[in-house]
Amino acid sequence: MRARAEPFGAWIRLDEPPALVAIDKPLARRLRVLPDDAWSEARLPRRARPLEVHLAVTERCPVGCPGCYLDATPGGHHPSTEELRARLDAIDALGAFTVAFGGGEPLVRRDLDELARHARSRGLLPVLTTSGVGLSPARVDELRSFAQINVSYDGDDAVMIGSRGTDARAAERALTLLSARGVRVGVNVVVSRHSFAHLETTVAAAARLGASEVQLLRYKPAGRAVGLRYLADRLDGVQIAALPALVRSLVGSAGVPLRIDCALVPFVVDERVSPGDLAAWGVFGCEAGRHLAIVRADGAVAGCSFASPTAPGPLDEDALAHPALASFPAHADALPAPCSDCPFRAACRGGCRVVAAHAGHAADADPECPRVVAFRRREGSPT
Amino acid sequence: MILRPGSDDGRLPAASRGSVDGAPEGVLAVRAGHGANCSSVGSVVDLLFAASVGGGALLVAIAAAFEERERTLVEAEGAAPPDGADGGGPASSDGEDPDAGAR
Repeated sequence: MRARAEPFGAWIRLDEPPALVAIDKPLARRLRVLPDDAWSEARLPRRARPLEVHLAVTERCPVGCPGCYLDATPGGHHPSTEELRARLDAIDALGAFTVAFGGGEPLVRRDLDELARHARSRGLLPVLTTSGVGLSPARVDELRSFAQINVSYDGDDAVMIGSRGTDARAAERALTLLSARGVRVGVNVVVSRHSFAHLETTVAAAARLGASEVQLLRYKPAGRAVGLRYLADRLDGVQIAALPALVRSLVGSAGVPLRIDCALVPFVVDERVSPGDLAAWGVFGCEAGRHLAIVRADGAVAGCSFASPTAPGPLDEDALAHPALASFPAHADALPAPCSDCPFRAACRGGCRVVAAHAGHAADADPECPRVVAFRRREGSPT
Repeated sequence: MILRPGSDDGRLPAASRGSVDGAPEGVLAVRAGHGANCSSVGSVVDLLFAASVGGGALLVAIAAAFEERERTLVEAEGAAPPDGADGGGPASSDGEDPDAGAR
């Protein structure tokens, strides 16, 4: 049981059931998850630290998705094993719980097992995201140190060709291989204008192929997915309006747990769910620079995988204080209208800053949030 | 037995109302699963929209895990003399450093 002291008590990670749980001090003391002096002023960190860190283990990728948020290429930056071990040590020193290996395509590396074992040895829980390209039965056996592997899968061949420029075979084969060999596998579905209409069949297919959960991800403007491409591929207003009902329908029918990413919170929450329930179930909205930090392949640090501003590595207390990361939680502490009066502000934290930055200014409200759109219409502001 | 939304120093979101029945006392928030995505943090929404099923089962499992830990602590105290502050609890089953908890 890994634990970390917080002003309110502690975060603890349970392996069974798999969960992160925030507990108050009396319970933390009763469970003795930390030494008694863990809450002394000298030992409590000055600012929130990440629960989860995303570690880009390479910028290389053979697939070339037209909407890649990283602009990954076959010749991108590729850190050494020793560099990545040092980055894992830094992530451990900050007390993070989960490290999510990503890329580029992580499978281009041959040292993933070594790195995952190193993460485990430091008390971190390693997980991995892949396109599935390059996965073989032998390679599956090299990935058993990962607690979960997520495969990027937006839908069938037609959807995948539209969204990623490649058919669905590699992803579907990877799902089948991983689940058949007993590896816990999830699916990442990027919700775009093109994949939206297929979500029900995509989620059903993922469950049929052995996925143990499906995560829906908002399409975001970063990497190659900026400018006109982003505007053409993002969800339109009608789709956004239909999303809450669709997600609720999927929860009831998909047969597999459904997860939404932090940027989808403003699209999915509505008056049928209470802000208190959102907070209690860990829906915290924009996590950048607070519960989430990113270590890029070149070692630079950011608050979110899609955010352009970076701080120099390593990921440490100084990096967390850098404006590239600290500006995200600071924004949530001083939200602009209409977020400042929104009942969901605590669970949404102003929506996606990357989308706001792409539309003009990161300090503005998320321009695609339906409540922001309605507010601006009332005010006569441009939407 | 209420799951209370936390509010302390900005580390947990302030929430004006709401609670989920069935959690052990002292539990402020729960994030289910491993969070396996490499680009964004995800939250399991089944627990929000179908909390009476999946959420209830998760809370029962968490309560059982806590009870098991307390039972282990009591048994350890009965088997050996106290030796001062706990260093973070027993090593987890996946071979983690026993001191990894004290962070």
